[in-house]
Amino acid sequence: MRPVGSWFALPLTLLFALPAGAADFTALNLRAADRHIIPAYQRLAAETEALASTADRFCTAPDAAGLSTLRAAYGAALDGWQGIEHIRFGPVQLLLREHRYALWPDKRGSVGKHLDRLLASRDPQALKPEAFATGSVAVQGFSALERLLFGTESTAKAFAGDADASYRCAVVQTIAHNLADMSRELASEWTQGPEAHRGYFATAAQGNAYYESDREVAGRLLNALHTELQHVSEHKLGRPLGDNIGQGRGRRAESWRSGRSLANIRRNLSALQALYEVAFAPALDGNYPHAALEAGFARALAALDAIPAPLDKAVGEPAGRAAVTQLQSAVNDLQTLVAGPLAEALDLTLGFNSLDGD
Amino acid sequence: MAIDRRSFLQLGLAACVVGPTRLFASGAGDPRLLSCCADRRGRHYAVLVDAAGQVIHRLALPGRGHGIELHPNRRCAAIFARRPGDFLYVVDLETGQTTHRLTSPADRHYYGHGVFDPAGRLLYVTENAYASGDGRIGIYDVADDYRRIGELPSHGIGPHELKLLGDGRTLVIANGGIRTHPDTPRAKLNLADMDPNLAYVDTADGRLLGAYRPPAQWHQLSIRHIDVGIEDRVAVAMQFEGPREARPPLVALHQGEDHLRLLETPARLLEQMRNYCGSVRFDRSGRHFAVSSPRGGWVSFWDGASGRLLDQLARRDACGLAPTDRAAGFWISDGNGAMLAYPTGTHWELAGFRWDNHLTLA
Repeated sequence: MRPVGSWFALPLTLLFALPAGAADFTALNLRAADRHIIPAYQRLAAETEALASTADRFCTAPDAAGLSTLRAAYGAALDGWQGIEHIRFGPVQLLLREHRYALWPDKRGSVGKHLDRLLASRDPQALKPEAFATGSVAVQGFSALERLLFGTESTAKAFAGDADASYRCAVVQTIAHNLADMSRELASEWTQGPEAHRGYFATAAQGNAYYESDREVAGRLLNALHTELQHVSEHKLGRPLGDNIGQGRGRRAESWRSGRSLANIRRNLSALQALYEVAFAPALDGNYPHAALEAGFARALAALDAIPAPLDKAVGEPAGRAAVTQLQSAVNDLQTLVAGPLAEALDLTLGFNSLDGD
Repeated sequence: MAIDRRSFLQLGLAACVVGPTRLFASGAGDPRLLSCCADRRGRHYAVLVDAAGQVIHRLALPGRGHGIELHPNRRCAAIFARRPGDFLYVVDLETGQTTHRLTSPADRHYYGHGVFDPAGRLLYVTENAYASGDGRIGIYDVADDYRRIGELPSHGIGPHELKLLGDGRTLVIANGGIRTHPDTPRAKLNLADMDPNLAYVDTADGRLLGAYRPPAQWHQLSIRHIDVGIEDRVAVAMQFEGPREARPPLVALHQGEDHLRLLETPARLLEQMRNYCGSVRFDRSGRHFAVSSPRGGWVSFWDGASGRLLDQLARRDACGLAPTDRAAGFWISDGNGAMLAYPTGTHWELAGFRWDNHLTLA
């Protein structure tokens, strides 16, 4: 507990006075848009487009080599998504896109349930782009596609031969095209036309239809950093770890089927580091907590590289658990730095009530 | 007589399953505050603090909590998971022990608020039957270890906060009108055809006694938070889900009229509210109420009878409200960990913590 000074003696206007040397939030926000968000969506658009065309080629004559090419394209596209999933506001919020890209953690097993139902239906109407995009979110993205491409029965034969198999391949193509469509739309909605989201970043200081102020946008970016660190610590690492080795559950790891659990986290952390470096670091101008954050990211990425096995295996044996716990603690330290010193240095709040109330 | 730990705990357990008899002397001059909060790592807690900011108990929660409701015996409290969470904890405020850990039924999630009946026998909880989207009020039997013994229809979609009127029998329910599903946790699924209402429901048979909607052009005004003052006067704080540039009124009163009484709000205050109110509470007299608007960082104070604006205050990320021990006085909590008493100016900060949306006087 510490006193925070007497407020009522002050006229209201003084409460809004900016501290000397306040960060230029519009500049910060535009650095984030131009050097981080927009390039990441453009990369995602390119990778998902490649995934869709690879899926189309594979389904004309499914074979083992084609499946392996398709799996590689899946990995590249998923990398693209993991590199931008921390941005949970703006165009990605519209049309449930955020949830259509991936449904994880999937505590109710919705992906498996809805995918089985779709496969059993063999309904060609359900695969028309518009019907598919407005249907169950659970089957539309990377989570469902992973089951199709990396499940125990996912050999090339599963995609050719009979009507079931060709429908299965059509579902693969539909998901891949759905991802490509969403990603192309996102890249375009950020950059094209009078409603381009970049424009809302640029004019936020005066208030616009999307944002009340440039401070709000900077707060959302800070929140994006903080929330993704928490997502990594609590869900991506905490769920498979469990409370002890007896409760460790490798299959609670994200992307365990494709063996990409740690690759995802590497992309997440690298993307957060990039967002910090391009947008926030210049505003700190080398002052505290800049060095601590740089060291924190380096420590987290080194801890990630030191994990000796795939995440779903590592959580099941003592040395692996110790390494995963090291990573979790490095991520937690980063989160604390973002919520405390970084927020204070920039005079931002995480917006606990203002950004995500109920 | 010495009480060993075992019987002490049993006493605590028993304390949360009996009626309103005051089990310990809770001096009126010794207010305490209960709220959910998070630390800088985003771990979630429920915290009981005294009026000077000393932490009495801190309880780790499995996820983000929301509303906390004090049992009429003033010794126990129910803590509700935030939408679309699935946990409901009952805690003994004397021992700090959790006496009951409930999980929502498989096809339901909690919406974040609940209310005890005045006898302290039943707990009513807002729930979502998410397959159909129908709002439900789960009924929990306190004496039977909070077993869920039935449910009532909420007569709307997305019931959020609910209260009982003075008869102890009529529920007033804020049906926010927004459909959600746990697979898409924070997404609002029906903004285009929202139909929120303020519903009065007879707990005896679930019958709808009356439902009141915002005017048709404001059908995207989500009725989310309510409180009941003297003479069953209901104060309503709303959130607008329509165009950002529109400026509908966000505060209303209802007391037996055939419509919601939307309160006239100065344009500048309406700007500061940013189409979003987070909490509403009457003071201890039941005559004045406060409304928080965390997006704009603003708190407004109103007269419950005339519906007139009395005062306003800038406070960044302020949301939680609870009555102080004086008329027209309120505790205000914020996302920076600070607690402020209006109008005396008493304040303190719980360093390293962020207060969540709601505050409960214990």
